[in-house]
Amino acid sequence: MNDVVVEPIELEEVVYEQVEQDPLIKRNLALLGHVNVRLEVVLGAAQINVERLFTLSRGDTIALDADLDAPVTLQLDGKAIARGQLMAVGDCFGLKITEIL
Amino acid sequence: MKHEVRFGWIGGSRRSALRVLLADIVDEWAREWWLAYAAGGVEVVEATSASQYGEQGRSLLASGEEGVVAVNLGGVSLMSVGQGLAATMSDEDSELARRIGEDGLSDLADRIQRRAGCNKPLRLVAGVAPLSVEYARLGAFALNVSAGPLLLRVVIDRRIADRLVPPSGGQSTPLLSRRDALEHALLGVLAVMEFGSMDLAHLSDLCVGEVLVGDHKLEDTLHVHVEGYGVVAAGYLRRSGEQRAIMLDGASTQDKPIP
Repeated sequence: MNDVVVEPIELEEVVYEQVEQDPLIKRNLALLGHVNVRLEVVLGAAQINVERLFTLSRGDTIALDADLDAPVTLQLDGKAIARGQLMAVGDCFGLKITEIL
Repeated sequence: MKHEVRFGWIGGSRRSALRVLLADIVDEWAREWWLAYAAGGVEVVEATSASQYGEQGRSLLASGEEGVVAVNLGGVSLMSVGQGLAATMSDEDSELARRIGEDGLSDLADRIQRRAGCNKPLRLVAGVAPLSVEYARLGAFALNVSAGPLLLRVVIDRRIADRLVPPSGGQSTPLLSRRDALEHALLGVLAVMEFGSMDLAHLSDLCVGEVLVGDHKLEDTLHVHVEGYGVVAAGYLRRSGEQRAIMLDGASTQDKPIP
């Protein structure tokens, strides 16, 4: 059996150089076409005071500031990217896009 | 009897007004109690040491619901105070001198309390000085009084100071404890649904009229976010009249707050 030397690894120190070069990865979102992102829908907001927050219990209701038919906001990474109408599609929620940039 | 001690110095203009007002009281008191008043002057200056009350010497307090007046004798006895007021060095009647000293200082404290509008002025008794008359940062205001051989330090707490020279303007607004104020502070709450995932190609092609189908079931719970913190509870989407509403189901199972 060969003797294998086991020793702590030593990494080379990074050297930062301000050299202007072309990016290694070209900006092409199509490359990421199959990458999935998580989307969130904001249904409405409310304001409650601290006292109420800490006395809320199961079954309590918080009324939101949104009418039943008000558009909801679709968010990507916390940023609003579209608005739409909330729908039921089978047994899942759906969103009919009404506004997008 | 326990009082809440509030942090905060008395402002310069109020300190100046307090010095003038207390100097008047002390002068009036000295005129009636100090036999050598006509011969010597009474000097009243604001104490500037860190410890307003003084660490040494006999200390007397008139401490009640309406405030605290403290007198520090700087190491001398009540008998010496009495002798000083009587302008005598005789030790012949030490008990009389002690009584004069005690009554004289109590009268000084009484005058300050009455000027402050205290309903029940208290007599000076020996005691442990509360923090409220020990530190300027807790609202104590101290004066060094010299009248001939007499050297006294007179200290009042914030309550007496407020009665003598009330805070002006916004300062007169009574303060509420931070805890009580916090109870009524409004928090922004958002009802958020984790709608589902979508690939970037689809997202780029998204257009008006398109119906996205999420993977969030109609009977699944939604998140209740507190703005600035993150998810705090879960609940179901319901209606409250013509408004959307969230009926809470339980606390959040998320460990980390979402920024």
